[in-house]
Amino acid sequence: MFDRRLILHFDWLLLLITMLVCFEGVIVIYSATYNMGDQFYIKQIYWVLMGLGAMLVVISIDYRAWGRSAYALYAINIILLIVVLMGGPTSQKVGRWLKFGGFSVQPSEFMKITFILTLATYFKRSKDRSSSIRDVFIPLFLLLIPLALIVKQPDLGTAITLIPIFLSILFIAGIEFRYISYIVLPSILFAPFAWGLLKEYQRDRILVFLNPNADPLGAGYHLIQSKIAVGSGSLWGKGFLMGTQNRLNFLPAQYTDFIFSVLSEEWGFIGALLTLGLILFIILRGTDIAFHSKDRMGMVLAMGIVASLTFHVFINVGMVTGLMPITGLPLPFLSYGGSSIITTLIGIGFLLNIRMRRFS
Amino acid sequence: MRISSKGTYLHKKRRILAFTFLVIIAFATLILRLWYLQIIQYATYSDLSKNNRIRLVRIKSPRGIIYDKNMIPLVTNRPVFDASLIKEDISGKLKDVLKPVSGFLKMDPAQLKALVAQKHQPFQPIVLKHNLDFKEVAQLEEHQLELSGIMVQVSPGRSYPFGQLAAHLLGYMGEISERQLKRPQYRKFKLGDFIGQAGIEKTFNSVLTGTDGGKQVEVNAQGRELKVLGELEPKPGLNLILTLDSRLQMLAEKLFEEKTGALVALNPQNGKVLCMVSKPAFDPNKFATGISQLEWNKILSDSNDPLQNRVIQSYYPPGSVFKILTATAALEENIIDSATSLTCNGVFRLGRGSYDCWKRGGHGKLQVHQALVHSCNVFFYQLGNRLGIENIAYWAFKMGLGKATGIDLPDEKTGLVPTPEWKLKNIGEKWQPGETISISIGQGYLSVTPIQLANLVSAIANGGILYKPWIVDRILNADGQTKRIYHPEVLAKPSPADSTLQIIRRGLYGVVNEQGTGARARVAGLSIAGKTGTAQVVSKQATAETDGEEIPLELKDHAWFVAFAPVDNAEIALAVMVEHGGHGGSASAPIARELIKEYFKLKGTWPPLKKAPPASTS
Repeated sequence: MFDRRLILHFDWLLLLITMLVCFEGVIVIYSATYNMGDQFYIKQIYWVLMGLGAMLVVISIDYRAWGRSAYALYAINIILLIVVLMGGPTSQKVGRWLKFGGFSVQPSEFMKITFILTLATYFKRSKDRSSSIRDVFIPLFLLLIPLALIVKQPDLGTAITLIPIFLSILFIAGIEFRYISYIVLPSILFAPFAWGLLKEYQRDRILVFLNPNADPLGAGYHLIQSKIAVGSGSLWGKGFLMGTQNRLNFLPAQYTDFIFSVLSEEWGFIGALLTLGLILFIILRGTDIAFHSKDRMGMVLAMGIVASLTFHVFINVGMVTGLMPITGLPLPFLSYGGSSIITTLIGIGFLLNIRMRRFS
Repeated sequence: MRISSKGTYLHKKRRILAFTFLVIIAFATLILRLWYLQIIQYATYSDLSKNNRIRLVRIKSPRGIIYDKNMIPLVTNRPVFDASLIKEDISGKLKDVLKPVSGFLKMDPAQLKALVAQKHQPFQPIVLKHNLDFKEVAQLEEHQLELSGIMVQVSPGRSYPFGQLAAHLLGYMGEISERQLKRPQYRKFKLGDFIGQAGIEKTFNSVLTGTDGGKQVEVNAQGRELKVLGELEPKPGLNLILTLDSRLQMLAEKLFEEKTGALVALNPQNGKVLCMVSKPAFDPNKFATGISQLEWNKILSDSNDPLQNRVIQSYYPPGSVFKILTATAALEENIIDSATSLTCNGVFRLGRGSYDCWKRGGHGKLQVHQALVHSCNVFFYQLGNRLGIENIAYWAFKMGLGKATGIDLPDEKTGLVPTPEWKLKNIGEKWQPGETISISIGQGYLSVTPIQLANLVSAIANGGILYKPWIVDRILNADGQTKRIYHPEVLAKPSPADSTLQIIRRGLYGVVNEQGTGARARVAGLSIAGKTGTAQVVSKQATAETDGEEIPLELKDHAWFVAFAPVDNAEIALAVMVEHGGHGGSASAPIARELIKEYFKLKGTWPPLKKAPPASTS
């Protein structure tokens, strides 16, 4: 049964670069949590290993077979989101985590990959030329259910990431622009009304999200401290474990969302550039895999993963450098956190899967 | 067909290329941004990163103000100056800064050194001394340039303009303890914060506490503020209006000058606390900014325990005041009616024991009315004997004894209503019939707090309803708008029959107005009802051994007096306890009289303009 060509076509380089960036993440986390008692970097190694395990599972089954159970996976993930909302066995943090035995997972993080897989499966079925209005509204329906549930948690940052993934997939699937405009334009028109429906504290939250300086003691302070960390890193950086902004705890969440500030402070512009270069390599490899994939499902799936990675990197690095609003989005590969690492590696697993089966 | 299909396929490949182009633009944007921050702006950010030049400064919010019912402020805020040090801002040697500072602040250099040596977060100010006086502030400000890292911080501190007035009720402030920090209700506090540690300050701590603000500032290399980058105003806490009348409170405290004891007056129609005195007291101002070790030791070693709120935390045997309850129980259980006569010949015998009346030779034949008026022990021994301990305890619990009243003050005690089960469980002995006899006149294991007795007479006065005593009437926000209004809360409705209450009220009126034991509480033109009580400190035999006058103070009995007025539709009910006061009739009744007089004087209905009609009697 097992086809030797699969091994032949395995993309070792993509796996190697992925591991390299993950390893870099562990090292930066080591520095970022050097002052804390908990050994987060050890845990991160466990997460990466678990991610590799998940990746292996993903690779070993043909992505088209995965596609056949996509709707079931989608349903299970939605149920998990509902369980989180109902205050199921959540952990002490904000109600986003589900506890399973010793560790907790974030169903909203896994929803991203489930959502991509489901849409890819959907577009496999619809024939190329029959790009119709249905191909916009059924995916929209598939988007709105998890979106509403995640907004409700409330996890605005994660919820919003589903939207660019959704639009990118419509674009890649070849949906005509006039159909896409059928949902984009009404959404823009509806926005002012939605604003009026919000409660004052919800508006405040969005205003701070868009303009961190509206909250000088919270987001605004974090932003300026992050910019100081990045800027003071200069060309070569202050050196490993030498970042003062990092070591003196002026950075918020310096081992999760703000990991790139630590990296930029200690490893400088060179380090940041190299890291972004490696991630860009992974992403471009993804577009290449999409380009050469054998079928439409593989193409949409690969591009969905590419879109998700790109969006996360752009928002996260944009955030720590003051280009983008402060959201709670992790940096793929580098930020500490099991759900993020495992989801990212599952995504890479699908890329490898599509590539090695491009001839079969 | 085939061609068009092929066309869309290529079309889609074009879209991948377009997307790839977008990805590259996104990464180029990020890299340019990094170039801008890390290469072009490097000097600015590097400068800011040295010495933590952008800082967050917490601005403490003022606590809510506490007013009496007439909006007279009882607790306010005043600016407090603290000297603090940010170690990282010191430009020279630590020693060179600490030496002059220890002189200016009159602090022991070793103590100062120890303070600074403690572990702390970098760039967090370490408070060296709280509550500086003006001279200390002036000296530090004057030498600012030489004292790098030292700063004077202003924050709102608590002020009690009337000093000791209502100290136990208002409470005091203290630094939050490690244990309190772990409790959920103190989640928003940090080590070193002051919170209410007693009284209303404690029960309403979360209401009184505001939301701290802060500002983001840029400082120079010495840590001095250069400019404010952003600021969030602190939100003051909510204000409280109490049910308390500070004028009545002032008189009550004056009446207790040089005495030890407690007084509480309630509005019997709703449970509002009108005034509350516990003596000796303390000055909460001394706690407001952290009490000195010396002062604290002084308070702790005071055998009179000035921190104890005797109204709710001290319990005493109720003595003859309890006869109100014994009479109520006997009437309700149909053991007697108003006409039942019993004989007192000065002594009551049960088994081998004999129990004296306080009047040698006895009171002769009397009914419940005279028995209350003259506080005849033997009459009530007989009632107690017929009722049995179960019935007495049942009515005592029903009237609110043996359990907390639920007043909005912390750490209320319950007192004790003994039962045979209680004795077997806690002392391990069987109940003796003689004990029931003692209980029936309020002695034995029985113990009550002053607030319980005030609540009990309130129920007698208002027709049988036990209200929860309450102090905070409403909550206002900083703009003076009402946020919350509190309403009377019924604890229980023991509701003895109206006829029973009528008999008791007439009897208590007689205590004051018919040459009874409480005659010294009588005021012409006011219909006051009351009951005296004497809580034995040592047994009768012990006092008998010391002859008459020579009884040392600490062996003298505690003096109770409970009262309400007017006897019908009472507006004020109170309990007075003078520790070691001797007899209730002589020590406590005059205090009750003066307080009731003041109450009606403040209300404007006493003294009457014309001669008042004689008060009703049955």
